[in-house]
Amino acid sequence: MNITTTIREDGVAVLAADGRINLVTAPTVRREVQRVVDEGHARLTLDLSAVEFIDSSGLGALVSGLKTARTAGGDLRLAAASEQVASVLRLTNLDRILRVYPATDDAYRD
Amino acid sequence: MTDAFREAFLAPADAEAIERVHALFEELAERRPDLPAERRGAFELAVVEVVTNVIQHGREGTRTRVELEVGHTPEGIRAVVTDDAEPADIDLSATAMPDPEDFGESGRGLALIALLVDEFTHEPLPHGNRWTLASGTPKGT
Repeated sequence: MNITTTIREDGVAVLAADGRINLVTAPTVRREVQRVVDEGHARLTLDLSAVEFIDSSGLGALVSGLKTARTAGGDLRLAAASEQVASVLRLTNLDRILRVYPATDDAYRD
Repeated sequence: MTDAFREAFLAPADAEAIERVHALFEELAERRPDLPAERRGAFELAVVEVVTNVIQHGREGTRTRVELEVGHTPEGIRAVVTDDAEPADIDLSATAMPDPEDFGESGRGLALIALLVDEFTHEPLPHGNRWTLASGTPKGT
């Protein structure tokens, strides 16, 4: 798994991950969210369009990232989740706290 | 008529074991294209959760080993995961999905497995644990 981070003109950090978010790669997600927030970007969007698989360890990293962003006064929003990711979010009820937007551009439209 | 699929491996319980689980299910997808992708994916995730659990609760200071055997017949799919970690003292019937509003970062694995497969059992062995997962193949698939 790799993460590519882009800071948009409106200050929102878009983190694009790929591959699998699991026990092995979850720490990378946590670290990258922390790094981006430490640099002053508390509004984050995690682009999941290229993530093919997530497990409960990966979900833990998403909850961690959400807390990190909110503590800094921002938020972590998800975009373009595959059916596998969306289904695991639903099964664990995490879709109640981690909202999935159709595309990265939709995440901070409000 | 499709052939039965049977595949197994024995490996140290580490990150590589998770990769091997995924590789095994890729092989299953190729050999058994009749198995619906969504059902195979749910079962694959359940097995990854079991192996992850074994890795996280391995015997301290020693190398835990994990053995996986997956079989698929027209009647259904079944996986047996055996480890040589400390026999776990857990009651799977008592596992519940944590409240999302608690913002917990762990504790979802076992509850998730129970939602992904039809049968999920754990037996402590004298020197390890045996985890059995099974799902029937719905008629017409």
